[in-house]
Parts: sequence; structure tokens; C-alpha cells
Amino acid sequence: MNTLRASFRHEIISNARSRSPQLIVVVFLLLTSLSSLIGWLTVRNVTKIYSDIVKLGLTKAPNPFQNVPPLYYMRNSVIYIVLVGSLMAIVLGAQASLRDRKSSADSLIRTRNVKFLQRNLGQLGAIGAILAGLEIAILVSSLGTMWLIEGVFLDTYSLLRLLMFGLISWLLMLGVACVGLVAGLFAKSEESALLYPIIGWAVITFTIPQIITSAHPIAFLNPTPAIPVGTGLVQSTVDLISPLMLMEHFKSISNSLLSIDSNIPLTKESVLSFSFFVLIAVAGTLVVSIQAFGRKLND
Amino acid sequence: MRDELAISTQQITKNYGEKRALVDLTLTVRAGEIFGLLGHNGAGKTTAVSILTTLIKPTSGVALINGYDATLQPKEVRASIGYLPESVQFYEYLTVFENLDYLARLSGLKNPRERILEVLALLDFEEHLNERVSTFSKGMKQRVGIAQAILHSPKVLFLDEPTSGLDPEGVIQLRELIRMLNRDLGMTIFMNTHLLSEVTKLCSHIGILKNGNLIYDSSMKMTLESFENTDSLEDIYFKIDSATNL
Repeated sequence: MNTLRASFRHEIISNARSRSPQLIVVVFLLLTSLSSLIGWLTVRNVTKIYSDIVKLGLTKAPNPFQNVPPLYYMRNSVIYIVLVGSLMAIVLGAQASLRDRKSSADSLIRTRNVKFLQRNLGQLGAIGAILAGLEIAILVSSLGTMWLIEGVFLDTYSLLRLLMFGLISWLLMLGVACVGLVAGLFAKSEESALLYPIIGWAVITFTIPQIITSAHPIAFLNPTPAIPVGTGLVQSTVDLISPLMLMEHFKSISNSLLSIDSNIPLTKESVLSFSFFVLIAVAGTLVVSIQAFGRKLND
Repeated sequence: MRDELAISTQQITKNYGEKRALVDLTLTVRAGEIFGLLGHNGAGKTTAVSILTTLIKPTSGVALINGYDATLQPKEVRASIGYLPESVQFYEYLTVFENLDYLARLSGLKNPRERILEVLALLDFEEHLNERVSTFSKGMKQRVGIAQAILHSPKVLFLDEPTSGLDPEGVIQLRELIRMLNRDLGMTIFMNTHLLSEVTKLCSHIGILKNGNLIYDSSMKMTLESFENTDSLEDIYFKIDSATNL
């Protein structure tokens, strides 16, 4: 436990001093505030135009914003997690392993009798704690801006769904951070340690969904998931590679939790693919990072 | 104590693919000695230290450190050695104490604060306890490096090019420090270097590596006696080196 605690504490202090998590919080707060402001302006303008049209007797249709579920206002957070959160998680993960190399502490560590399972668990635990902190900051700021700018209050049920969204966002970022951590262990330079997982992220976020959904590229910047399409041989390809559309699966689960678009059902495949990724990423990172030290010993 | 073998290797060979980094290295270092392993860049010095510190495994041969086999009993070896690699940087955002505390806890030391303070006092470095390592000169970092290496009171200390990149004052300070560790704490020191002046001033025993082969192994006293008409260790080194065709 001594090793686990020391590793956890070390990771937290190193991250806090490097100010990376603080930077991520600021970026997220800016994005959520800006998004809320834009949302508020949109609602205000549309409602004003709607009121004018109603006064002129030109429509009897209900106000388009009247029956919007309160969690709908969180929809942009989904895309922030996919675009900003994931990239930041890659950086956090890669930094964790690059830090040992840059400080040349890896050779100091490898000439000691270190319990690597405890050390790596501590390191992952700390990254998880930092990401959880970020997630809490994002949710609190989102709730704050929803309340302050849009005047939306959440009931207990919605709050629970929001917490579930926070949980799956945290799991996604943790899994992606693991990929960054492993890249940092094996890449030859700092640049490639960041470049490889970012390329992988771009392929998973844009290229694979583009191949199997035929959606417009800009559609992948939307919080609503794209649906795979195809028949015959194409369908077989879709079946084979659609589990790799990690971000679309995340969007699909988020869509269901935040009630963004009720026409898109949550599929079992999305839940399974997402859970499998997180499980493999965390367990795989633990195994691979322990093996990495063994591999060097057998050079 | 002095007759005990701290390090003993039998025909250690290390191949990296086709390249032979170390060829049948056989040497002994007695407890309490300061051993200097000399050689050009690429002679195999770092490979030898890496094997002795359990960082890499030899392709063949046996290395015993404090009686433990580096390949078969790496845990016992690690518990009895300290290691200072070349150009150690440490975690730049952390203070001296935080760096040492982390490494000490990873080594299994519980509540290492007292030991850290004791070691820093020994190295006359306690006033820098709460300063960040990123602000330190190379010489100061080497001092922290020595501190981390001796935290768990090892019997043998391995130093890889310890004076590399140091200014003259830093070299003198580090030399005194190494002497003190050997004299006062009875540590056996194994150092890699290509600075012959340092070896003359510090070592009681030297070995010379050339292209992975140990071409010379003798006590400093014997060496100086054997080459009594030679002005300096530099001249001795070049005489031995040029006399060996490998």
C-alpha cells in the first residue's frame, strides 16, 4: 500500500505543478459558458420571434423550446468530451509515462525492488482522480450556467441521469488516458507519444464512422450519434468495424441519458463496445506497463 | 571485510543482435574498493554497469554482486546496491524532498523522512530540502542523485560517468563526496568514466575496456609501479590501449 499511495500522491502533485489539469478545467469552463451563452441567445431570439408570430396569429404551433427536456441543454458537453476531453486525456496519460523518461527516473525505478502493480495502479488511480475532478468541475459549471443563464433546474431523476453521463464521460476519458500512457511508454519521442494516439483518436472519431455511416463529416461534430448503414457485403463490413466507432457509441449512450434525440435508440452494441473498450484499456494498460519494465530487463 | 568480493563476474557477454557490446568480461572488485572502469565511448562501460545493476540481462556469463546472482536473484542484488545513472534529471516540478520521498517509498522504505534528512545532512545538502530540482545545476543534481542512491544504505554504489558535464568545482566536490562514502560508510564504489584524472585521484583498482573486451585489470598501485617511467595515467592508458589490437 505504501507504493500505491506514494505513486498516487506523486502523480497528483506532478500534475498539479505542471498545471495541465487546471488548463483543461479553464478550457472546459470557457466552452460551457460560451455554449450556454449561445444557447441563451438562441432561445431568447427564437422565443421573441415566436411570440411576434403568435401575436400576428400566424401560428398555433407550440414554442419549440417549451417541451425541451432540461438535460437537452447539456448536449454540447457530449461533443466537448469527445473533442477536448479525449485529447486532454491523451496528454495526461502520455505525460504520466513521459515524466519518468524525461526525468531519467525510469532507470532509478528499475534498479529498485518496486511493486509495479501497486505503482501502476497508483498512477492510474491518480489519473482517474484528476479526471473525476475535471468531470465534477464540468458538471457543476454546466449546472451553474444552466441555472444562471437558462433558468433551468434539474429534478432528482434528471440529476441522476446527469451523474450517469458524468460517469461514462469519466470512463471514456480514463480509457483514452490509458492509451496515452501506453503510447508514452513505448514511443521513441515525446512528439510521437502524443502523435500516435491522436492519429488513433482521429481515425476512431472521424474516419471509421465516415466509412460506415456515410454521414457528412461535419455531422461528427454533433452530439447526436451517426447510424451505420449498409446491406449485403457492406453490412458485413459495418458489423465488423462498427464496434470501433467508440466516440459514436459514447454519443449514443449520452444521447439516451441526456434525452437529446429520442428517435435514436440506444443499442446493446454501443453499451458492449464502450464497456469493452474501457475494460481492455484499463486492464491492458496495467499489464502492458508492468511488462514494459520486464521487457527492458530482458533487452 | 576488505577480502570479501563485492563484485565478481565470470565471462559476461552481451550481444545486441550482431553487435557484441561486451565479450567474456571477467573481473573482481573487493569490498571497500573504489573501482574505475575506463574506456572510450562505446567501449561497453554502460552495458557492464547495466548488467551489474540488473537493468539488463547478459547474453551469457554470471555476475555476482554481494554474493547474489544478478540474473537469478535480482531482488537481492537491487536491495544491496545504489545506482546513479549518467545525467539524471529528476522530476523537475518536485522538490528535493518530494523526489527522494517518492523514490524511497518505491524502494519500500516506510516513513523515510528521517533517513532523507540524515542522508542530506551527510551530503551537506539539507538547506535545499524544499527547493525544486528544476532550478539546480548539474552538480547539485548529482548530489541529489547520490542521495537517492544511498537512501537504503547499499553496500555497493554504481556511478555511471559521475563527473560528466560538471564544472571543475563540481568535480572536486563530487570526488570528495565519493571518497567520504567509501571511507566513512565503507561503501564499495564502481564507477564508469573516461576522465583519467579522476581515476588517478580516486580509484584503488582500475579496469580498461576496449570494444567490449577487458584489456587491463589491476590495482592502481600496481599500475603506477609497473609504468613508473610514464608521466601520467593518460600515458599509461594510451600505452595499454595501443598495445591491444581488437
